[in-house]
Amino acid sequence: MTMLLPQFELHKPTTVEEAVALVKKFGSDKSDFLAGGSDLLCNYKWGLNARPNVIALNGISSLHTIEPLRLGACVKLHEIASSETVARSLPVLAYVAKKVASVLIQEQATIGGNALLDTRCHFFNQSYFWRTSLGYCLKADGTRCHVVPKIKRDGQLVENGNECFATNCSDFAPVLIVLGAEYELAGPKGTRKVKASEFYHHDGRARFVKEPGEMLVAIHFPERAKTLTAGYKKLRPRESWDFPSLGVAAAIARDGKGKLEHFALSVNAVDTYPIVFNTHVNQYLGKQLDDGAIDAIAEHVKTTVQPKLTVPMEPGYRKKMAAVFTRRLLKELAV
Amino acid sequence: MENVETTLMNKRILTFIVNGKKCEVAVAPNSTLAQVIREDLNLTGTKVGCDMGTCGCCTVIADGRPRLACLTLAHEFEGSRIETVESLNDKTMHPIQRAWAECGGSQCGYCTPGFIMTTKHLLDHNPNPSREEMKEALAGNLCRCTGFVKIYDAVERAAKELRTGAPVVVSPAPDEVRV
Repeated sequence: MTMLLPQFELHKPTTVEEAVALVKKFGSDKSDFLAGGSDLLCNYKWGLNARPNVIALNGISSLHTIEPLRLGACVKLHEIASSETVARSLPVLAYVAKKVASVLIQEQATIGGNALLDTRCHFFNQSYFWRTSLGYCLKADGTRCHVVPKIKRDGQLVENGNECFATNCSDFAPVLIVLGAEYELAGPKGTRKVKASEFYHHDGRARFVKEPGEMLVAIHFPERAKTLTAGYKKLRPRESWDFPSLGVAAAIARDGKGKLEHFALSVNAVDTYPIVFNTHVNQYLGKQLDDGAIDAIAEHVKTTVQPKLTVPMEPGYRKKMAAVFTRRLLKELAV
Repeated sequence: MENVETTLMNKRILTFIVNGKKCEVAVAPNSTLAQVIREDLNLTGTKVGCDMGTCGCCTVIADGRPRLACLTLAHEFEGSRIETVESLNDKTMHPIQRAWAECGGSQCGYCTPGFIMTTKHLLDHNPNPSREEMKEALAGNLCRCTGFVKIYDAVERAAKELRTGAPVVVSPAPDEVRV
């Protein structure tokens, strides 16, 4: 059965300036940017926060460029996976691109779309009919959260009508964070760059620190990223398709004696935003990344993350696996 | 009534080259490629399964790349060359289709058009894929009947026939031989 998309007007700008002018004209709450569509159109089919104007970005040629340290927001994942430029400069990105969903999704999904992936939840990513039975949720059409129905305020348990706990399931977000990437944003107030590590918001609805009407133009990497040894581990029910139930990314650089010069660690799909452990792991700079250090870091990750029952696999299992995957990844990088 | 009129007003005439033929279709902004192929062009070989990009039933080849027709707006394909499963059998069955039939690659058959189009793209670019390469290429297509082994057998047989140009003779398995 074909699910019909809600009615909207489609706009096809050919420059970033045109796209920004369109969002300024219609208002950010009445328009959405469309890149690959593998996330947005699914949500639209389910009646999730659909808007009357869709601005398709695929016609903007400057968003499709691949450079050694800059990727346009609309570069498709299969292009990243097969690009020689990416393989030479940042091979971890090609690896991650192949880990996102299936090859058919990789044909249309974009790196910008994955970095800005909408947060996911058992009570949100459902059909309109399904959500009707529960009276909707905080993230779409409703007023209460079904994941954390009550929260403590002033020592008393009260109904949670404010905090959304939907999970950030982007594969690229933690990797871009550990590589030190910056997001180039264009909006009605001009262009600016934001560090990937400071871009994600604690609220599952707001998701990003993006200003209203801002769009992602490109992802920039520092020269340092080329010299890093980076990796990514992903836990998911089906290896061929699923979003991550846990994603761990790390990047290290060592001097001639094997001592750490640079260390970054980020864990995703356990909270509303990718958790950055850079401050904690910085204490290991100048030391060897030995088994003792790896075990201590893995244990710290496990005690820090607080997964909720928002995505497949139980929170307790994902918490334990956060330590297992961190240990495995760091041991691989330390070889 | 007002909604219907609004939709009709917003339609635009788009040109596609579908299975080698130029087609002009009035397309609404919210129409998916699958809707245009099935409902406007009446090419119902392309199936819609999950409608969410999970099952791969709707796979078509657009400008040489496999694409999920249920999850892409038709407007994004203006002027594109689109191949659907109907492009494969003009008068006789394509080797991929024949291999599917002979190997038992389909049971209910609903997922088959998607598998066949993904396989065509795979074999166009890699005439001799290994089992691992097949599994990777077909990971986006789901079959709930066959269990995939017969599908991989069919891909192998089709690849051999397309490489050698000669039909692969099917010999019955020992337990199928009847005296």
